[in-house]
This record gives sequence, C-alpha cells and structure tokens, in this order.
Amino acid sequence: VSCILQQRERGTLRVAGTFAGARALLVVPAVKLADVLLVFFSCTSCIGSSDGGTSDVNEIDCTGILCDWSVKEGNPTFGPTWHEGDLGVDLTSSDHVVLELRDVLFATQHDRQLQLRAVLVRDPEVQLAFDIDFYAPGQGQGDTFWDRKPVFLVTRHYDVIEQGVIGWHRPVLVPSEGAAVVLRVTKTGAGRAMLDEVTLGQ
Amino acid sequence: MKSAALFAALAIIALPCVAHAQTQPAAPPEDDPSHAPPSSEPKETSKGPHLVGDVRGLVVIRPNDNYARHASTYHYDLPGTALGIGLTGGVEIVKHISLLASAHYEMNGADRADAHLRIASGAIVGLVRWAFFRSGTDTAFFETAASGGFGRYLIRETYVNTALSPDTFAQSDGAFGGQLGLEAALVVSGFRAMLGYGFAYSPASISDRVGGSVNAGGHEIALGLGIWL
Repeated sequence: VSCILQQRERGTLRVAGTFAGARALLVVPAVKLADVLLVFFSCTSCIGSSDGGTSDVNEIDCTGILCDWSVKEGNPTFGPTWHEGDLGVDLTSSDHVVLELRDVLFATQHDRQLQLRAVLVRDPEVQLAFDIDFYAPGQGQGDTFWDRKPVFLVTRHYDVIEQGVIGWHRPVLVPSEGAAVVLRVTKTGAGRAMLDEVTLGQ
Repeated sequence: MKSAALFAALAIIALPCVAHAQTQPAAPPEDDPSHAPPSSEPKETSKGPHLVGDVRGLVVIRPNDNYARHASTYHYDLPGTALGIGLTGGVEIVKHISLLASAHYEMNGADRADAHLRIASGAIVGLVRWAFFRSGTDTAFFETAASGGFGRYLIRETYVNTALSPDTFAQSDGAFGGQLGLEAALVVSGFRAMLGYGFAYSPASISDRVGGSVNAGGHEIALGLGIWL
C-alpha cells in the first residue's frame, strides 16, 4: 500500500491509497493520531541503499580471480573482508606483503588531481602504505602500453596513519604527462590488515 | 524447527481464547429464576477476566557494537532502526494484571549495488502487564501500564551478492532474554489502541569479521490496535 498525503482541510485528512492496482480515496478525521501513524509508517525506512563501493572499479577479488592485481611479496589471502560474502584481500597472514596493480588510466582524462580511495582494516602495529608510480608513454615498439617502454615520471607515497576499520582517501597530484600508473600496496608488521574497494579517480 | 515455531504461534493465538472460555460461567437454565442476575450488578465487562490482544507496528533500535559503522564504511548504509510487526494476546486474570504472550519480528538491511545485506530479529515472550493507572468507565477508559517478561530471542543475518555468487551467506543466533516496557492505551467499546516503549536485552547476537556485533532486542517503540473484551 502506498499512501500519499494529498490535502488537509476543515478537519479532514484526504489520503489517496493504491493497493494491487486499485485506487481508493479515504477520508478520515484529521486527528493527531493519524499524523502520528503517517509519520510512523512513512518516514522510517528499513532498507538503506547505496551505489558506492561497486565491484567494477579496481576491485581486488573478482570471484576468486585476482582481477589485475599481482602479488610481489608475501602470501595474502583473497577472500572475505569484513563479511564472509564481501570479498577483498586479507594481508594479515604475512608480516610483509606487496601487491601491485598496473593501470593505464589517463588516455582520455586530463585532471591534475585525483582521489585515491580504499576501505581498510589496520591494526596499530601494522604499517600500511600506498605508492603510485606515474609513467608517460614510451617510444618503443610493442602491442601494449607497457611493451612500448613507458617513461617513469614520479612516485607518490602515502602512509596510512589511521587505524581500525576506515574509509581512507587521499588527493593524488598527477604529473602533466602522466598516462599510466603502477599502484603498489605495502604492508609491514605482524597484525591485521585488510584491503578492499581501491579506486583512483575523481 | 518450523513446526515448533508454528506450534508456538498457534499456542500464542489459542492461549487467550482457551483461558477466556474457561473463565466464562456456565449458562444458567432459562427457567431458573435463582440464576437471574440482579439488575444492580455492574456489567460483566467490569468484573470478569478480559481477553486482551493487539497487533502492533514496531520501530526497533538494536544494540550495536560497531557493526553498523563497519557496514557503512564498506558502503552498506544500514538504517539505525528496524521496522517490524508484533502480536500480543492474553487475559487480564485479575483487575489490572494481565498475563500475555507476545511474538514480534523486525527487519532492516542495506543494498550496495547487487549486494543485499539483511538483518532480521524476533522473539517469543511471556509477559506480565500491570495497569497501574486506569480512568474512565467500564467500556471506555484510558490506562497506563508497565510490563515485564522473559522469552526466546533470535537474530539472523543474510548476505547475497548476485553479481559475484549465487550463494547466500547466513548466520543466526538465539538466546533467552528479558524485557521491560511502559505503555498507554485507550479502550473504547472493546477496541484498544496503544502506544508503548520497551527495552529488551538478549545475548543473542551476530558478528562481523572485524570485531563488530549487533544484538537482538534493544529499544522498541510500538503502536498497536487490538481488543479488550
């Protein structure tokens, strides 16, 4: 049943209601109890909805596949994060872990500042850092951007100082000729660390 | 398990009816003048046990130790309140004191793209309600009451991300717990409208993998309509 408050006049409250396609017009006394009922049943929602955190931007675990991430050091676990059903990477099992993602991001965009975002779990005894290596297009021969010997420009380094379960983000300055990145995540120390929903974008 | 729940639900519904039926005096023979009620006696509704019951809408705020914050961090915007429905029925066995059975169910959740997180909880509780203030006539009166009870509380979490996997992840817990409440009610011609607040505690809880948990029970606001016969 959906109810729409239509009109209130002369002590009556006119409520139009629809149920299974049928439409009825009800006139009920405009007592305060009716107002309370309307507020009670219409202003409280029990299902939240979000478009954020989609699984299509630099997601780490693509149904058991590493997406485009590669493990350089350590033995991270690709699987559950905060919830059994929400997949990411658990860096807890090794004291030193390095993950890398190569991405050609900037073929069609010219923004000089982007946002690096991630959802992280970090214990106080763990050091967690992001490094972003920027590359300009190379002059070599090859089928892909990386085959054509791209030119290294600069590395941006970001330490994660927050701890606990956090939504983390930092602004990233893009070099003028930056056309691709290697995003590297480094975890050092014994303790719990998890990584999910990494994005580099607007 | 389902049949046990069905039996419990039927027992809740049947209990007041059976109790009410047992308290009805046998019908006197029509030709026996000694059984005729004196004309000065108050109406039956003022003295006998009364059948009490209502259906109520609920807004519940569950005790939550960082579970909702963690969900929100991972972009599941879990509302702070759960909506539910409850059934309460019983008998006012002596003046102002009612024995009741209550069952309720409430649910909230969050969607993140193709991922769906749901938390449902419920309880079956036996209650004693004391109407400590009552004003009006036999057929129309206002009352305020306090209640307390004990019962079984359940909480269940389900999660499915249809884009990644057809599997549904579920966890649940159950435990005994208790509740206290206050309510105000208006009774007119056998119909009863109520507004109440209660707090329920139960150790039944579910946990996430990073130290958050949420319990069954909690703060509860109820708005109901029912009978008082």
